[in-house]
Amino acid sequence: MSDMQRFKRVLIANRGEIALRIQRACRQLGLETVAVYSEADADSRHVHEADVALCIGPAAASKSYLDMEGLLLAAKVMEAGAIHPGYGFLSENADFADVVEAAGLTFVGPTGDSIRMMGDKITAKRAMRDAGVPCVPGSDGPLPSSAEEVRAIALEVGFPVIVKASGGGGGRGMRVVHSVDELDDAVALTAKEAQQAFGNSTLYLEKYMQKPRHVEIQVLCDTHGTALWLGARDCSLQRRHQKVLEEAPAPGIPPETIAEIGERCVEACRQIGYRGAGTFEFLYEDGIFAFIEMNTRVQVEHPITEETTGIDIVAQQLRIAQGKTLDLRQEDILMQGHAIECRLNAEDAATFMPSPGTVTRWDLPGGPGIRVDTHVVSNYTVQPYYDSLIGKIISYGATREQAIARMRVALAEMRVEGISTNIALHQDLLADPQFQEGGVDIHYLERWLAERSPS
Amino acid sequence: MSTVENQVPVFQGIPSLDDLARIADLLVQAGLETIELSDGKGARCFLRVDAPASASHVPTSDVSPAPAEAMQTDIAVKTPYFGVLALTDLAEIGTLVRQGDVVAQMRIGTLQVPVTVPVEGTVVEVVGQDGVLTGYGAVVVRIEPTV
Repeated sequence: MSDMQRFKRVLIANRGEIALRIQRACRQLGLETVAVYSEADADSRHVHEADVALCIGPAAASKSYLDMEGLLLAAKVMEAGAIHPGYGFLSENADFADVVEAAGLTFVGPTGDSIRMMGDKITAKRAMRDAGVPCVPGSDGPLPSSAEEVRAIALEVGFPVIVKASGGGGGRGMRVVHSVDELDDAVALTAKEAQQAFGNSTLYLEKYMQKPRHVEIQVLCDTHGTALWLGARDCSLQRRHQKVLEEAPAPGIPPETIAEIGERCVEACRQIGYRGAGTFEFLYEDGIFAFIEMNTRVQVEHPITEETTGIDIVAQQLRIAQGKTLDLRQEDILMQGHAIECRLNAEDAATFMPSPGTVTRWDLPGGPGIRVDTHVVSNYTVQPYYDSLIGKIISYGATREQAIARMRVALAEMRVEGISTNIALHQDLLADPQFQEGGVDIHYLERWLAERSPS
Repeated sequence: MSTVENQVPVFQGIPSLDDLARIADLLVQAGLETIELSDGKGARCFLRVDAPASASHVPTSDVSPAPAEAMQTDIAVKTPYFGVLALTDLAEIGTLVRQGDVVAQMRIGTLQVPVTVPVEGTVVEVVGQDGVLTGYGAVVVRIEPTV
């Protein structure tokens, strides 16, 4: 392997657990790290441990972690050769990817064009359909302006349908329509809301799957034509479109089925010239996969795939960005055992309101098959300005039962004081017979929460 | 346990000047510029802070200035951006500086961002180091305001 390196120093344009995760991967590859941070994050672990660190702005993300110009200047003054955006913040901002590369730096992620293509749901779906990735039946493009034509499309797709804003996301700008007489009003209203919320009134329409699961495929692509899929994750346990607990593989779905979808995903990657790590998200119901969107970045739940494949996804992102080959063939990738991730949030157990404050006790679990990815240490103060994720417990077992059993022991060992967390919620979920059976749908958690609430 | 809620003083009547200063600090930290409070009985309080990029440590507001006694303490003049610090001649102990005076420049390549003094006073300490890469919010000088 060539020792030539495109970059020796990586600026980590993020915070929290993922900043620390990226820093660890850089270290293992012999790369130096630059931590850039907001005033509120001065006392964080990845800042203390970075080779060099620079405070770039106040707590407000718009003036620190989202400040493109500031990040570029920081990269220049700190002599970084690459920028890793992590997840969230600027990780899926096509313009940022473009300006980073225009400045002569390496963006650890896909090209701006790939991000742009996947950011628009209509173009993304069209590209996937062209590449043979299964999509949910729908309008296959923007809705026509004629109400009559819209009705014809909806009738052909079959009710219920969901009307979505092309520029929407995160559960916003969408409306479920159960019958043809509700359609005209729903389209008009969603278009108006989309215009107000996203500045783009373009809509599309899809068959509404009633009890789907969320199943996603992890891919890795180098710049030499190798594209690999690393198996599936089931992320159906969600609250308000936020994932709470994820597992790999997806229970009850035959490996051959996943392999077939995985092959289509990597074929799509080859066709669009995708590079880096990415995730194809699907709804899955009655044996049918329907592409929802592609995430063009590393995901929060990437560790469960690392556990089941033994592949360090973040290190691979960095190697790919260096221009190296993946040095792996699809048949080399073993998907073994079962992994579960519980996202730990600093939030009130009953109201889910964020619970920032100083962590006075932080005892971590251990033992075989337990991994904890966190930036929190004892006496760390959880800031109110950012999301409430304080860490992730990942359990691995030879079987799903063993992974669940290990996770339950780990959660019981974990001691957190000073802030509220959702540990008890995870404990209750893992004890739930339906969860233990496996394969619950994306609405399960909200139904379960509603049923057990005292009101 | 400390939450955002319990850091914000409960508003019953006109908040004290200390409370107003804390509210103003929270606004700056959150990147907000204004806040309006009312107690439902007709009392209203409107606060506006300088743009967050301001060098001022003590945010200005529409309320009357704090009592002279509270103003006796030093004021830290902080960097409004990051860059290589270049101190000016004014950054010297004993120098009388006026509001808007530039005590240093932050340099990154061709970009220059001035570090300005928020209120008139005397430089009592020079903390920033000339020629050193300095982050956002670092103290450059401390001044004792003129009473």
